[in-house]
Amino acid sequence: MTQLLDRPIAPGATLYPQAGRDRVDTQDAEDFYLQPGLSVPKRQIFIQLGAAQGNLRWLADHVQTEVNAILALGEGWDGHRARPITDEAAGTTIGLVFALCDDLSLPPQFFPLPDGGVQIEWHVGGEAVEVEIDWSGDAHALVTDDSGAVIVDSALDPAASESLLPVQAVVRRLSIRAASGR
Amino acid sequence: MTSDENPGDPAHLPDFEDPPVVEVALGVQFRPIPRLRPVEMASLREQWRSEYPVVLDQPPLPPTIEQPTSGPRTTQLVFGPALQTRLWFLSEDQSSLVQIQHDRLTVNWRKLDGVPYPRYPAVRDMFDRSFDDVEEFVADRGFGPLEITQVEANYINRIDAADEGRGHLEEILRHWSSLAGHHLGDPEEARVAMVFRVPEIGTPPVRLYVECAPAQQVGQAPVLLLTLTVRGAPTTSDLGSALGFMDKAHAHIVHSFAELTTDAMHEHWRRNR
Repeated sequence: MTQLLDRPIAPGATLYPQAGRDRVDTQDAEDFYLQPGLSVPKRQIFIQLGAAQGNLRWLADHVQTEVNAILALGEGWDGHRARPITDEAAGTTIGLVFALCDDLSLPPQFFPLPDGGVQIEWHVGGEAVEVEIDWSGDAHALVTDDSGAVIVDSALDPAASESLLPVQAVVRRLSIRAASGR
Repeated sequence: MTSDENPGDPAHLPDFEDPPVVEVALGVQFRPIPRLRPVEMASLREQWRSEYPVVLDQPPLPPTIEQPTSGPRTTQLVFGPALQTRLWFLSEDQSSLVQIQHDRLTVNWRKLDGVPYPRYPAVRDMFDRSFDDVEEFVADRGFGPLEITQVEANYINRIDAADEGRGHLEEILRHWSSLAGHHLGDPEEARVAMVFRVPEIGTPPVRLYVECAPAQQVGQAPVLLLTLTVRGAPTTSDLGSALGFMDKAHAHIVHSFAELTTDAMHEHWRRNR
């Protein structure tokens, strides 16, 4: 079933185009030109999910949009000396989001960092998860509770499940908390 | 079909005099060649001008790679240059189409104005010639080899269905039962999708996707589309391997089409064997 949900069956067909990526239209063009200071993007990513992740298509679409937006930032995007986001940082960011989220998770917010890295954050009530990914793709997590006390302060590796487990648990708890409106 | 018959032998393939196929797309994905851009393809446009005089820009298609069902959660990331486009090279009557982007080549035959289906060998030959031209083009310019990573064969069949027929898939699909016993009666519309693993082609996983679903073109009557696609990695990354993959994929698609559809529809499409 996940195979079917994840992709258009015949992407190259033309007479009856299948649902998939929206075509660029005049609204897209208008949006593009009306955004002040937006540089012409030189890179973009496509996220293709594995067979076991068909139910995460919504998350992939969201992450793809957010990451492509920050990848479009050019040199000096902060008005000073900020570097463009590196491919390494973007790759680790996406790997971490998929490692930390499941199909019921609250998606994080994405922020570019001046060194070419990315920060992703979840905030619910007073609790917060902040993951900083530097330009080289190395990641560090800081988790605080309602009182501001630090619960987790450690390096994160998308490929090492033991480093992810405490943060995964907090993201899950924050998602439930957000869904229940508390 | 008996076990000692070659499923790909055209003499053993089901054959229809008036098949409902409206589009065939044969294509490959290859390792991205960032310099394969419209501005670089000016000479290819010239070379193809007599056969494909109409050229259109389209948004690029994202990569579609068959992946194993089991194993660790995998997320494939593809970094590529933005603002890439897919070029369409169309014949004068627009029934033949070659689609090129930096990581794909697909040829399509499209049924327009009642042009009869030219049959698989003609579309395969069109793909073969187009690939040769593109391979020579990128080699001449030092863009690197075309290393094929995925091969795909798509057959789109259009089945006219009146308003009340789009929920009656049992008239089209052999294994679909009527839902007349449902307390709300027959469904207004129905959609069926299946995925089969295809053994002994290319490098696993190779899959056959089948979908029967309602569709409608602007200003035209609603129809049912029966789409069959085989996709996967070839054994090696060269053209010969891709063509061998396509031949077997075509055979599986034709067999599946005949096995999945009803005798009444076969009669309507005038099945010969």
